[in-house]
Amino acid sequence: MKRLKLCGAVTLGMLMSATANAEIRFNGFASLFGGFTTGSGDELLGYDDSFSADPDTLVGLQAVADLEDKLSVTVQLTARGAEDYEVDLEWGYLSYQLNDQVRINAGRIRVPFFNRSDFLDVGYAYYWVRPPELVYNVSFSNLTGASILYNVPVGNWDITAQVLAGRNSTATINVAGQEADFEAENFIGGSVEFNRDWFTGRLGYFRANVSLDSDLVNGGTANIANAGFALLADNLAIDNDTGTFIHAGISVDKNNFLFNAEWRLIEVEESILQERPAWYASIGYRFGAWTPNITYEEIETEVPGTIQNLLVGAPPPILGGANALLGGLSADESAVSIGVRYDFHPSAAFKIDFTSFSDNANAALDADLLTVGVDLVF
Amino acid sequence: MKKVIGTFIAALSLVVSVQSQAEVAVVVAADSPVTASPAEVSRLFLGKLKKFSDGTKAQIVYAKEGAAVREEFDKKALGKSPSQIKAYWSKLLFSGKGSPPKELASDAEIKAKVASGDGFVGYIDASAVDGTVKVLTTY
Repeated sequence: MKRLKLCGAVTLGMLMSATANAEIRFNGFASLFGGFTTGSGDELLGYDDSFSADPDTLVGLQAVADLEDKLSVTVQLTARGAEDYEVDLEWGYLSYQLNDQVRINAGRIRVPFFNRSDFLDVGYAYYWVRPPELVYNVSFSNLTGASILYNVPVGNWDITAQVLAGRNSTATINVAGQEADFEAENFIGGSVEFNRDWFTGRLGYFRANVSLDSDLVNGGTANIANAGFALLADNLAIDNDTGTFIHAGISVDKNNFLFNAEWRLIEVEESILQERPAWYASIGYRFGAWTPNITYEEIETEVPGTIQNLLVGAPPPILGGANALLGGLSADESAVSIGVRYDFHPSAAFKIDFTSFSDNANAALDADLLTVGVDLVF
Repeated sequence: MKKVIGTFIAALSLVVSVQSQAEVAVVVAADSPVTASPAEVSRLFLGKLKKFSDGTKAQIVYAKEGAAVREEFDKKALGKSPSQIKAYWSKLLFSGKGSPPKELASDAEIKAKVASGDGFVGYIDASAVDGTVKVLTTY
């Protein structure tokens, strides 16, 4: 956290000193949403059965200072309802535009995990209230590091490739209701996007050494190790394990017909994070200013073979302990969302969304959520 | 009744012909050697192509938001609604990948800018075309 603040201060400092001889452009975006679950006592995505405006509400402000010699500084600050409207340095980086095709960014940057990662917070840029959560919900979205962005037209295609490296040490993961510190070191990877007219495709691959500091997990694996199952304990703990992220996505926008689908696989083998494949498919249609849309999404985690083999023949207390740990990070969930976007103003869109969520492992957690609000850019 | 329908059809055809008259011309400086196909125009004005086919760096100029010529151009040349265009540039702006083009208030301002050369390219109402600019294509 300290590092983040320092990084923010340095970037802000750069921006301040830049004001003397540079033009600064300010732009902003906001999402103002409220919602509630329709079933008594149900909870979903930060909402419960009484109306709340916090989970999806956010305001963002971006400042870009163009310095001389192809250099620019970008700072994006956000205040989210979900984080008590505390102002956060979302990203802050120095850019060097080498030429028309190559741009180098260094600082706190967004990881291009998904089709919409780059403008995740700018709801105005998509038709959903929020991108499909079961797929988009990853433990962090930013890195402290550097990226190279390469942009090139090839025939009738426009190709954007990005490689980046860095680390994230400010993330947290919810383990059985407890927030635990999550760290991704030696993060490296890239994505390539290819666009032609109405079609956009995207592929991505990233890897990192990940560690989780959870009292719950540490305690559980220590017990298993002390009982003489050190290898199993090691294969459950998330301690400097290699994690990979693979992504494929397409986006179609033709004659007012919209289709989006993305698939991703997160794998942290030899750990309780397991294999985490998730995907969604979504259709929308533009009737003038109205865009009704429907989306199906799902995630189903799987215990890797290495761990399954180690569990064969383990005595019941060990098996029980291991399964409890695995269960804490397992997911077998799906959701259907029906929504409408209405462009009622050149800079603002009204949205309404109804999401029906099913937890296939525990039907008590099923919930339906209604969300209404407005996305703006300014 | 027939008369009413006849008048209505006449009025309708008048509206249609008025609409089709509102042509948009994509213009560069009169002495500019550059050319661009409709497909290239669309990619240039979305910032995807940064150069003309002869290698000249392109500097695009938009008409002000809400201007009739802009809505016409967005629809015919880019195949998008004004809010889709807004969303498109928002994506680039807030992902640090680009910034929306400069907007000018009138056909006259756009002509003056474009006529100054330097690869400037804009669009104006076809009726405003004069000797200071060269038309690349019309919609």
